Amino acid sequence: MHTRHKAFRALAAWLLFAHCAQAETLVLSAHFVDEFKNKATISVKLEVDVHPQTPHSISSGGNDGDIHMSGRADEVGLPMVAEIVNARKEQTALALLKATTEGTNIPVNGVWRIWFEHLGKEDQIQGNPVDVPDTSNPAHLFEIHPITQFGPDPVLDGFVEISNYKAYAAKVAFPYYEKVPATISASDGSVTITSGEGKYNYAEFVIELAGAPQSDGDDGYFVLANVYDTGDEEEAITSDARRMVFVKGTPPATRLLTMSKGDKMHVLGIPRVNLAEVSAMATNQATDTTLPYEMIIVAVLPD
Amino acid sequence: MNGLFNSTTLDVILGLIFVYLLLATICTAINEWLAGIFNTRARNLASGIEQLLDGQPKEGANTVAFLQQFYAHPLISGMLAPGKSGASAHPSYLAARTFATAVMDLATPTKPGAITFADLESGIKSMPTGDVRTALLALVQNARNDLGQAQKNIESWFNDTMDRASGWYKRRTEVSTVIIAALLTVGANADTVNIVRTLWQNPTQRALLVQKAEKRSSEAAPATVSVKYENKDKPLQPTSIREPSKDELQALSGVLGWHTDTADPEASGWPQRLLGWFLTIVAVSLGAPFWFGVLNKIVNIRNAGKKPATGEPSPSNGGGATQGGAAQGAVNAHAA
Repeated sequence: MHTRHKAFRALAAWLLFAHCAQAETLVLSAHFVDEFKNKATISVKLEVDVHPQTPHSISSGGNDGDIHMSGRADEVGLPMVAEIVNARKEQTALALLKATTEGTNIPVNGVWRIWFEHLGKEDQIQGNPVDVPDTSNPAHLFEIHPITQFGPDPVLDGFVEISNYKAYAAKVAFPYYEKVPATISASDGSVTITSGEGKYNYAEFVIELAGAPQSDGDDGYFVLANVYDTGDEEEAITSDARRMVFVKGTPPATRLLTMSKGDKMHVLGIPRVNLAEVSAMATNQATDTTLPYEMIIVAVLPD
Repeated sequence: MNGLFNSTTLDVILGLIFVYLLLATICTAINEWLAGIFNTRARNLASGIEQLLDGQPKEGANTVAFLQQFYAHPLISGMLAPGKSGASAHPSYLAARTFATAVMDLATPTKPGAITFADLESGIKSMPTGDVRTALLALVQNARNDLGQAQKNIESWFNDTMDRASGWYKRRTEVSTVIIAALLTVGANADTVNIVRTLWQNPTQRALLVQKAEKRSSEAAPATVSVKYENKDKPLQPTSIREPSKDELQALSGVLGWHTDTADPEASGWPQRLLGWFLTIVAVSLGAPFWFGVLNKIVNIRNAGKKPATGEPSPSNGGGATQGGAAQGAVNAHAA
């Protein structure tokens, strides 16, 4: 019995350590949170540091057909990358990226995305000096993903199904999204989020509109929707309606505008932190909770 | 601060608002619990559908056949909870598209599979005279021979009725809130007059409630904080609120309950007690979000009136309590 207790305590300690080792803290300016919590996208002048010449291959998991670049932007003030989704559909932007040399400044617009996927060893504090990355995928919690404009060219053709890509099933991804632990707090001028590792970039699921879409007053729409696993639309797999993010001018947004409450759409989406909910939760006392998230809809899939 | 808003007065108000907030939160929780137990949302939806479809007799017989056929349709029967009947089997939500598809299918029983606008129109015209036939004819007449538009019109017909049904549900909820508030108030002897008197006379009790109120205003307890969208059509406005903790409920024991001294009607008199209950019922019926907003405002007013502690930067030099209070107010504004 004594040995069992010891084993249990060792296991508990290991789990705690493992959890702590995979957590990271992000400190955002309160102004940034207020400005972007209800915006789909952000516009920056990106100083491109490192980028590959070809997009990811396409199969499953991280082989998603994206191409990403590391860079720095004063508007963000954090280690970051920017990604073109379904990049083979965006030959103009690809050609521009290939011709881009280190240190070139390029205007980039795209969906801002905070997700605790590529954790580092140090806290990330917005506004602190950002080291020049030596890889195209440095430790980062902030992304512009997907890019919607790269230089002079709109990058909206990639918002379609990624051919031959097998996304994560909703019944795998969403139970994980729903339970990512986080601690949220606020102080004068800042909002702090500590969270464990985020997974499952691309999930395939069915949404059923729970309300009317609302424009963010810029180039995005938000809508609340119930989430179902593909092929099992009897019971929602999230505890409540979740917020969905659409980018104006993309096929998903075009379809959204024809839909009414109760209508369904089969989609491909990627998660990001829901800053509106973070803002609503954040007080000067730390709150242990699950990480509030919302889904960026990047493609409409066949029904 | 002098006059009406001296420290004691403000603390009594703060304590009273805190009591109202906790009672309103409990009231909301009971309301939700009862709605789940009695399937109120499902019953409401069933009433709305009945209002739409029950005025259509079967050919040659004065029955509600169309409504029965509707529930027997596979698109609808598949949504009923297996092994249950009545409201407990009825879904709480039905998509307008599902409703319209089932109705159009029922109106064209001789045309299985894909139909045209002409099929739909002739199917509706062949229905026996009744309210549903009349309504559907009016809806397809405005569709300009477009089947898709006809379906949209039927969906809008359903959505309009559901909007009204939401209104019924809201009114019923308001009534049940008042009833629950009344039962809660009397059960807990939440007599506003007595609460004010107790808070005024007992500085320790007052300080305890003020401390809890300030804590509630400034922090979110780990296990109980939640974010909700009160209106699903407004995805940009999440709100957060938390349930009362045991600690907070214990703090109320000094001002609520049927204690020996307060249970004696001679001590305060029934007219005064009835007035106190009435005020509490009205206040609790206003709901938790209302009192949470008021609580935050009062806490901010109270904090703004405090003298800075020794060594604490004054507002004039750019830091200190006022700035912190304003920042906290901004955070709480999100929560409210």
